[in-house]
Amino acid sequence: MAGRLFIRRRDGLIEPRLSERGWIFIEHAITHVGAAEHDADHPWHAAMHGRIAPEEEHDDPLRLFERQSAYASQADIAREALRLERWSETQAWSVFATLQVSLRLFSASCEVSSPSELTAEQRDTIESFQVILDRLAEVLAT
Amino acid sequence: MEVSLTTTWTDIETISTVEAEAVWKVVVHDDPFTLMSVVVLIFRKVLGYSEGRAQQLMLQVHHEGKSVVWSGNREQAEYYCVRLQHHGLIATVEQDQ
Repeated sequence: MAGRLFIRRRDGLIEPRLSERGWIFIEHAITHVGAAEHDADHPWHAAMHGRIAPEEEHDDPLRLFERQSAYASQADIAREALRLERWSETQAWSVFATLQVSLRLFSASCEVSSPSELTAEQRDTIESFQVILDRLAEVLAT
Repeated sequence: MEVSLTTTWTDIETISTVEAEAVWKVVVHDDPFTLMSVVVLIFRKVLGYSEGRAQQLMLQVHHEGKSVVWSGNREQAEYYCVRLQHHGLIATVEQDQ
């Protein structure tokens, strides 16, 4: 998944130029965020429903609920953007934020403290997230 | 049953004033899996910082493990914290000691 994955068009819209594998990857990542919200057995469920930094954050159930709802709403907007030829700024940011949340939930579910502890498969997945996020960040910054 | 409401308006006003004066910090914690370019972009978008300011704070998070990215009243601190979390960063709110 190298090269220009996203381009900023003259009309300001963002054009995703993903391969089929790229679309499937994004689709899975976004779908998992929605699934983790409702499915207690989902491997990301614990990371999504736990405190974000247990040693730092005050225990605030309302805050947790607010955060989870926002993840799910954002994922809904991102899901609607899947397979579209052009994204508005809002759609692109929703995809970007949902992918970054997916990366955080995925890495938390790996239960490692440093990248060196990842399995080869986990490392591949994280690198795929990073490549897509980096390319999309580059376009959103313009 | 007798109901006694002994709190005076002055008491309430004093409590409100103390709460309003407290300074709350938004702290972003390091995450080894999040790219620097992503953190910079999120700081720019959510906090409205310049590229240089966002870079400076990102480097502080990277080197020191965390950074205070904003401080001020509680309501605004919580707003920024939640928005940073919605963008996948590890952010918390702390009261300044």
